[in-house]
Amino acid sequence: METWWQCEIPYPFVPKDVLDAADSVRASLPNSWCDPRIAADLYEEVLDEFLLCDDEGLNVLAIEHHAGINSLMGANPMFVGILARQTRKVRILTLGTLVSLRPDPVRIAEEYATADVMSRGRLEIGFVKSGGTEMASNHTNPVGNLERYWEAIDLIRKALATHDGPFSWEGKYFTHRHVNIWPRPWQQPHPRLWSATGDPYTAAEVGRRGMVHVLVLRGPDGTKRAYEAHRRARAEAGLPKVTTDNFAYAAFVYAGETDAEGRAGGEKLLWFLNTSLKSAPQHSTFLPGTIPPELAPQAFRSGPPPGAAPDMTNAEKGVVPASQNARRLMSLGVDEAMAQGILFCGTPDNVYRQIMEFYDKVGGFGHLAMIGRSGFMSHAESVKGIKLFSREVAPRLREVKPIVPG
Amino acid sequence: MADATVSTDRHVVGDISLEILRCGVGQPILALHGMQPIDPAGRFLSLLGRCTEIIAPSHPGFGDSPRPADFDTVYDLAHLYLELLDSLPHNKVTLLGFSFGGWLAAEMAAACCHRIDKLILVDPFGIKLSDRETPDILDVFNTHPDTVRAHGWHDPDRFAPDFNAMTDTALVRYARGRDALCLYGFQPYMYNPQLKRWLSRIAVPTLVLWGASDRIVTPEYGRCYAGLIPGARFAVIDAAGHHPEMEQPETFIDHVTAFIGGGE
Repeated sequence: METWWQCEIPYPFVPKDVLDAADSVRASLPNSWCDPRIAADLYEEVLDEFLLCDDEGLNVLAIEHHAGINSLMGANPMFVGILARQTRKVRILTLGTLVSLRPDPVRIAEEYATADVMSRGRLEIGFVKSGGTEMASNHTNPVGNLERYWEAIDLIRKALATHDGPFSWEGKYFTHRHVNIWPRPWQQPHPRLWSATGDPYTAAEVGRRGMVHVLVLRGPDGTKRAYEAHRRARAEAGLPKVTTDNFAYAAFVYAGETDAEGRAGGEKLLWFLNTSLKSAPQHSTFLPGTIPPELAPQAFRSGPPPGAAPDMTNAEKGVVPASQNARRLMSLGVDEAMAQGILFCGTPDNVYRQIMEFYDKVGGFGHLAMIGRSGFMSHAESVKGIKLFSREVAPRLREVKPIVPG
Repeated sequence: MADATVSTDRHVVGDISLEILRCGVGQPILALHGMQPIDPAGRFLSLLGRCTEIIAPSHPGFGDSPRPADFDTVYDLAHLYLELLDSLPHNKVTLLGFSFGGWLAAEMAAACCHRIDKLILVDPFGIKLSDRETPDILDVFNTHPDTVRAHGWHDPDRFAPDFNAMTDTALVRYARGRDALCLYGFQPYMYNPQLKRWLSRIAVPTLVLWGASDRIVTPEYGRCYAGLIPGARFAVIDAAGHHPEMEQPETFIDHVTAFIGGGE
């Protein structure tokens, strides 16, 4: 199993009363609350932590979120470019440019190809569907997002893999009649592609396309179900079986010298859930296109309908709306987060054990995307966590070789 | 006079089978709904049906009208309804458009008036009037639902939809309509930059009605809109928001019947 370290570079330094009064801590909170001098310090600290990962042999992962306290990494390709130049050994995963928000996927392909060449072939390219606040921040129609997502990926893949001169693209969402990026990517025909999704429908498409499939904070049941949908779709399409190398899981991870220190680190990571997920109803429950209309009765009502309680478990058989998943996550404490497989923390031995228990529950995965710093965790604490994990846990995970699950 | 009864059937236009409300006997009116399909229990429908024949389709993607995968623009909707006009047995009909449906009606009338007898627009969307930093139309998708509710109705507690009281079926229809509205109207938001220029082509008697308390799109926008249509009359209905036909059905019907019953 490979480990990918990430920090979303949150900006937690907004007074609590301001956050409590705001209907959303993303998209609409005025940027006067973001002091650029503090932001500069955060960028410097986290980029240094990425470079420490390079020294310690932990792969690095750059995410993208926009316009909120949860992340200052809106300009994802800039981070990918910096990591391509400043790291020397480890692999770099972008997870990823929110492709359905960008008007021209060809420019994304150009940015990725450039980073792949700069890093001499160490780039992996992940795609994320984007959330409601990001739709608002980027002025994107939330209806049709998934179709646009796949068309953008198709165009990026073709732009990366076409090396014999211009081609034309006149799709439903994107038109670009002269595609011919320079440089072409270092890795041929293109860097490995990843996709983050939790719902079974998208999971099936990720499986058919043979992409690495990432589940983010979904817990064992949802993760297992998505991996199974991925494998089932491949089998139904007559495609060869894949190994655990095609599956990834993203969770909060902090290793400390003692269980108490590990748990203290883990608790700091949960700031991301408890504080930074708050978004306004127009960007979550009531955002068009985000849930099938059939789920509206349980989503739109403020209370249960007479005589029946909403059944979230049943809903998960189809799609767990991101907004519902967020509501569930916002109230989690350390023990609950650990029990749900969202947080792995404690001593290195215990962290390893928790990860492998989760591995067994979901049928195996080949990549751990670890959120190692969040909220008010200090640079020193993050550095300590990276060193301990990379020296005491990562080597043991590396011994977990790819297998064909299921 | 007894209220007219409302029935539901289907009308096929090309490859699309539209859900249609029908009500009343008399002068034919094609009614194009706004952000949600017309409520069959709505008072104004049965009142208007006393003297007119109302034909009220649900737009593809709304209600129980399917939407083909490649049908996703106001261009598609305007052409669908021009074709529907050609498929009706009536030589001419009055075209009545509410809100988003008012935009569709304006597009149709600007394109081709030969099957349209008269045009009635009720708090219509469709054009851009203010400067680039001043939206004319409240963004119902990027505004807190409580604000949308407050801006849309003169008396929201009495008239705004109550999700807790709606049936599952009604909520599914509501959500379906919201998705479709967002698909058609998201970009540019609820207007066609070209339409303003061509409103001068509308060559039929036109009445523009507006709820005085409408803060989704204001009466001042309506006054300017009417001014761009040759000879159009403009009237404001008091104690009504974006849906005067629902908040003040009697006054609304008085305006409509006077207009369609009178001369030019």
